Amino acid sequence: MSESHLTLEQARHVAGLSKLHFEEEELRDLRAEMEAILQTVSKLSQVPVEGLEATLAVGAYANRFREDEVGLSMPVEEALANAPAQRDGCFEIVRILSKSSEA
Amino acid sequence: MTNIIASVEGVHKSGQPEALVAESLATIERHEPTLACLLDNNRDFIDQQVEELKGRLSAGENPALAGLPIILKDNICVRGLPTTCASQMLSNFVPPYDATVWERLRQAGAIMLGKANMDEFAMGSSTENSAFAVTRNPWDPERVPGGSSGGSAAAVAAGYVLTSLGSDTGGSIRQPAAFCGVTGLKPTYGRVSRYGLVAFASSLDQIGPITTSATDAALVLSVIGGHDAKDSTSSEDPLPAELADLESAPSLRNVRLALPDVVPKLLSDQARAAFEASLAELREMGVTIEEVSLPYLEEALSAYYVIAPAEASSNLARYDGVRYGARPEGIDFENISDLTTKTRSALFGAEVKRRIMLGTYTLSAGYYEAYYNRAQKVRTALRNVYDEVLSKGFLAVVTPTTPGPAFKVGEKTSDPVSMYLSDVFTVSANLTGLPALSIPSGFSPEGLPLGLQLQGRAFSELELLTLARDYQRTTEHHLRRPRAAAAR
Repeated sequence: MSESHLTLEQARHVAGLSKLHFEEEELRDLRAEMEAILQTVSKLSQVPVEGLEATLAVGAYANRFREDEVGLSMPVEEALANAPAQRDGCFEIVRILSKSSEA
Repeated sequence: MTNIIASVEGVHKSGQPEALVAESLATIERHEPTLACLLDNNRDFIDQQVEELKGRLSAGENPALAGLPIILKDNICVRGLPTTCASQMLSNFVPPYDATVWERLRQAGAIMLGKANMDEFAMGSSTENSAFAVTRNPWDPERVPGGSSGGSAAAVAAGYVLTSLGSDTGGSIRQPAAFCGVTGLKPTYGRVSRYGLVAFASSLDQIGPITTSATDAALVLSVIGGHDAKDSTSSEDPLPAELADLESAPSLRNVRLALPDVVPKLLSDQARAAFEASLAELREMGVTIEEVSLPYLEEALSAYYVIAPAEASSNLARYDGVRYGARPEGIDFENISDLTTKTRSALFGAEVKRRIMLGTYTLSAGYYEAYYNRAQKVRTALRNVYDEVLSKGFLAVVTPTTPGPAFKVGEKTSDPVSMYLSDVFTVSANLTGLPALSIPSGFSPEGLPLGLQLQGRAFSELELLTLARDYQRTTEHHLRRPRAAAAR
């Protein structure tokens, strides 16, 4: 927690994980902003948390099951209506498997 | 239009919802060029709803909100109408289903007039992060309405409608309600179904009403709240029947409120004086206010700005450029990863990217323990603190809703940390899941509204709203209207 220094290299790596591309200058600015935010949130280390469980959600929930019966679901045309590209009742994407072994 | 019950009674008597709708549309037409509260105002859809309601009225139905004009934040899905979240990413998205809250409002006879502007994907505290418009505060168009539900709050303050819905992940209903001088309720997590609400941070998000009074907020909650099988986190705890008619609910006796001792040091002198004046008004009503130690209020803000971006980075991974959402014009892409990256980079705004980056970082290997897991444990510590205070017979924890009044457009956009600090009093309710209400409590020296926040036990909305109703019976802050609206 004390180590909140974020390098430009780390910021570039996080951008890749986030599926976001930034121009070099944008990334520099963003890195600085992120570091300022990370420094602000370093207050977290001041709270004693020994023995505490993490709260993932509030409230008491249990899985609810329904009968395994066939019912109506959204028609294919409606499910596809918002897709940027569709073909033959499917979402259209670019090839994800290549013929060579590089994939 | 003064309150919801009177408006609806008029429609029940006449069987004609047109006059109420026309009055709202005229107000919208007058102020919308200045305020820019709405992203969509579809006249065909309005006509269709009016016709449908007239059919029901003439068949003898008297639904609870018959003919009541409403506005929904643009992250709440309405089948067949654009739901954009004020993002280029969803600029052409038309949901194939209705949100549960809208289904219930429509069933109750409400007429949806338009979708409200907001910060993109509800990330922000000023509505300046909208990709489409900058909404102005009706009290001073140089100032922001707050956010992220800024369009929803400004629309109620300007008299467009008596109620709108917002969503609240870290204060996004209560902070704009305070900045705009209206009443805003974030219900207990699980009280209102999130089905059809575009997800930001799923363990924190909650839909709630923005109104001109506590009584109206209670009535709207009675319609939208309650269990929904379509949201697995929605609670089966029954809604109190009194919510539908709060005016008849008995007043509370011997109310005790807890005042966190750190509050005064977080306020400017002016804000402190205004806050103390509203505490004095509460004392005059017979309310006892006791100072308590409530640690971690400031640390809660840190936990929030770790947890909310983490959940957002995960939730927004769905915008992959394939299944829905817009596609930037004329892009070339080599492979699926390239398509996703180019789509997201072109269509998400700066604040959304910032939060995705932060969330991805704090969830990544090596940092998860120090940030995300730590924040979730601080969240537990905060819940324990609130549980302990509220178990000592206090009805609620009382604070200002915000450290000060609405700031100027552009004042904080270049400094995300200072923007985040305006959420210091509101984020606890989301982290703990507890209900919290913001009510108008006075005005700053420059005549801008200020809000008081009451945060109570889980599912204690009725008690909070009853106390707020009593406060609104003895004070007139909530009756003051901005000049823009008073001119009509």
